[in-house]
Amino acid sequence: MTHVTESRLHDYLDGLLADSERARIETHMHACAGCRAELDALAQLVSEIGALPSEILPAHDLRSTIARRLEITQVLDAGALVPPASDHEQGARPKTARATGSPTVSRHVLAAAAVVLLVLLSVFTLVVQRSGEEDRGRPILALDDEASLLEFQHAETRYLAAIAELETVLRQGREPLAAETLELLEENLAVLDRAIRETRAALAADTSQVELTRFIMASYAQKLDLLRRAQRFSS
Amino acid sequence: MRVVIMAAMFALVWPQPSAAQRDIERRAALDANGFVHIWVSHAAVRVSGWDRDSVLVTGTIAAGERLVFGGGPGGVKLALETPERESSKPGESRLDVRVPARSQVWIKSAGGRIDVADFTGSLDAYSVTGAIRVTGSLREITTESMGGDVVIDASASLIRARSASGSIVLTGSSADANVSTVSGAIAITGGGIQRGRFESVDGDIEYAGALGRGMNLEFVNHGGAIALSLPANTAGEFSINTFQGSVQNEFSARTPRVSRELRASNLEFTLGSFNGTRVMLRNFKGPIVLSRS
Repeated sequence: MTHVTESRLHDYLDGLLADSERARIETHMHACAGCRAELDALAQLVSEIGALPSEILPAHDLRSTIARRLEITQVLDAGALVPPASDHEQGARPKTARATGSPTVSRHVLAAAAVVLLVLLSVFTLVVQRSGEEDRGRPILALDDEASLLEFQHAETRYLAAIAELETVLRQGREPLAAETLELLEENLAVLDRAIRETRAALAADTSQVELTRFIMASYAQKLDLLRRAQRFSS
Repeated sequence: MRVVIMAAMFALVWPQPSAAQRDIERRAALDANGFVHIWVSHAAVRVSGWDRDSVLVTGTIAAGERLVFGGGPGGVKLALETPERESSKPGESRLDVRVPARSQVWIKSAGGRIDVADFTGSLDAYSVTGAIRVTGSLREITTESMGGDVVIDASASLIRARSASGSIVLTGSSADANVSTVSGAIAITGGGIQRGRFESVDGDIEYAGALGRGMNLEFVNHGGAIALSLPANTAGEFSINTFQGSVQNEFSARTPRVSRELRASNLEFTLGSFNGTRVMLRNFKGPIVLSRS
């Protein structure tokens, strides 16, 4: 038997396969560590995202928030974040207050840093919220196949919840994302949101095309993956 | 000859020390299967395996930077601390890291280039904007970048490559490859991937090579092209699915079956005698092209 495709693994986990097909897959799983690992990962993901909250946070304007964040960063760059260091210190250790844990940082700087942190929290709230805005504002798609509709809705809810969870993780990250990372993130989230919009529009125009839900799910998966990557780069 | 040319090109682009930089050298014992964790900001890092149970770090670092290095036989960690106010630029500092050939290497970089060669262990390489290049024969390869380009000219049982905008080139072989990008391009050559999924949203995906017995390949795109260049004697089962894109197929005279309201096109056909090879191509609006190489 050839390797089990991702869609069959989903079907397997969802209990949608006939007994014979299920038995065939289980036989293959015994012999194939790769498929077994993929199934385990998929089962774990489904379990994890199923346990996540589905609450969507309030909307904001992402671009203006990023702009504000950059402005504040520039102010900080021009200010007195870095305390004077001796020649020895310059050569031997980082000079930033954050890296050295210097107690000489002024209250103004701390206040400004707090503002930056707050803005960053908003930024990552918004990164996630953008998808939520689009999805919440639209009527539920009326797929011809009721079972497919329910499956799609369920999967979409789980993805949105997982994206919201990642937003929380990003907010709690130890380090803020660099401006260039944030820019790349923003650009590519826009690409993904456009793809989701286009695919949704096509599905709304022809609800018999259940295959389109797989495109939408693939875009959600990409979005989740991108946010995960951003989170890794922020820590 | 190809290797010689690549080596020459690499030597040309590898950063050379300037007066403001200083040389460093650190070494430590490390088990053959130990781990090496590397953190850098903008330094170029070259990792290569050797047949010794130790780690050797040499290179040149910019003024103001500091190499943090430590660990034990089970694992070594090294980081290049760059003061944020210093004018450290990509490529200004460089580290050459020799590691036990079968060890586990983990690298995280913001903007520096990462090169890995002559290494047979497992690799995890993460970069925001720096390029990643991997050559050789490894156990497993995982790369992630945001804007940096990735080149994997290597074989590994498992390959995972992700990017946001960076392109990904895969010229090696693998039992299981998963390559994904949002807006970057993907190019696969050589025909050495037994089981693979290649996915983009806006970037083009190109595959050039033969399809071996039992291969299982899946190509998914939204707006970019999917282009496969295959030998004339290709055998396998093909499934093509597109919604708003075109299909150009030099291998089958059959035209795609168009579903109702002209919204989707599906085409399934088998070339030669079926040998377990399956190729699935799905695109939302980008073109799908199957051409003879």
